Amino acid sequence: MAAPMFFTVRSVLTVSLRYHTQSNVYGYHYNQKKCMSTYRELKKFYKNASIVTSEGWYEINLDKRKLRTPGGNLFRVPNEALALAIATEWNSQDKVIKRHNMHLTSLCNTALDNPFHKTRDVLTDSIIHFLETDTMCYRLTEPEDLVQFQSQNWDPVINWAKDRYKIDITPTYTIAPPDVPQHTKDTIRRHLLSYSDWALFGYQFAVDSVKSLLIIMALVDKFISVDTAVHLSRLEQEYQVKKWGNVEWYHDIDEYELKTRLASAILFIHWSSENVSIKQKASLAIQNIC
Amino acid sequence: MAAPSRSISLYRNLLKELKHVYKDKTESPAQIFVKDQFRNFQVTTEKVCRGRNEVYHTGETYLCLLQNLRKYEELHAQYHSQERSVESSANLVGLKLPKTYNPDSNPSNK
Repeated sequence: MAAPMFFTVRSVLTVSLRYHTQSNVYGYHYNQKKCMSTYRELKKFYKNASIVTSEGWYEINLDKRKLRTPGGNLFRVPNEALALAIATEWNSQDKVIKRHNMHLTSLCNTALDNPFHKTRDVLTDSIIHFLETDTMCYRLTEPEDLVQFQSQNWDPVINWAKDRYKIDITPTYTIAPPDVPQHTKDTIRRHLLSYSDWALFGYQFAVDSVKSLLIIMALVDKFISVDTAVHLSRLEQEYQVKKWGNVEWYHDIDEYELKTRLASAILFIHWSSENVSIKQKASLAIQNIC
Repeated sequence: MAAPSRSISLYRNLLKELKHVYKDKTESPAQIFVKDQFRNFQVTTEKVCRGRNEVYHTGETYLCLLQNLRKYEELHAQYHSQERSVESSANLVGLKLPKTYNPDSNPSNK
């Protein structure tokens, strides 16, 4: 029993580090590195990860053993594509299992275990909280070309959101937070509550990665791609890189990691809400027959 | 559906990335799934109440995940796999270390 306990403690620690330190990029990397060196590595203990169906859910088998979450629950997902992508994550590991890169698996673990006992309301509140400090709403007044760069890239997305959701939001040029009227928050809350619990966990992870709710809404609605979304969230950094040069081991690593996180979160939202709609229709059909 | 040439290149790239993970000759369930999906939506992607670009967007997002994860791991292995020595860190930013003091080569010691 000692081994599972150890994994539980370890994963909770990793999750809490991620939650508490993500706003600070340096802190995050520092802690992640510290984590990795302090804790024992997990060697690859299986040859092949495969998927099986059971009671309408998909489970992951590592050789002949069933995968479990850090909380001890049975690991199962509602969608075949998601299960296959997770099996691919496990199959792509070589010698040592790098769990910090397995975002789809960690998102499912969070959704299944819910380690911080978050309710739907708490989740939506924490997502909407990002709207008040949305990356795209904080504009600079100088230098002139950066101001232009920002409005060229960000304005189309803000205008899209205003038009699509009938919301009002005005960017700020000072340190004061942007003006977000109550009806905007209500509209977005209603929209978010239409998603399943699983999708909300994905939403939170995505919003937290790019520090912007509007970018994620545009991405989930397929208005922009992941590449564009990451570009929009790193505008100022890209401007500085153009001016001062790119450092591969900082800027490129940062960009690739962000894209991996974001793509995982979007796929997670998509696949876990796709199944819900199919299920509802199926259950309606059964009721009609009865 | 997006332009045929775009979906063909998406299809090829997805299988190429999966090939990095599954090196065996036999096809894995994941590869079969991707092939089936593309065959399924060959005529139109608007099956089962799906939006126009939905399937394409999902495929593109998955490709983005696989590609960036691979690139990230390559860079990570190159720069972060072990702690650098002072000398190699200095070289990284184009600096050299000064010569270290060696008591044997100092003439006053003899």
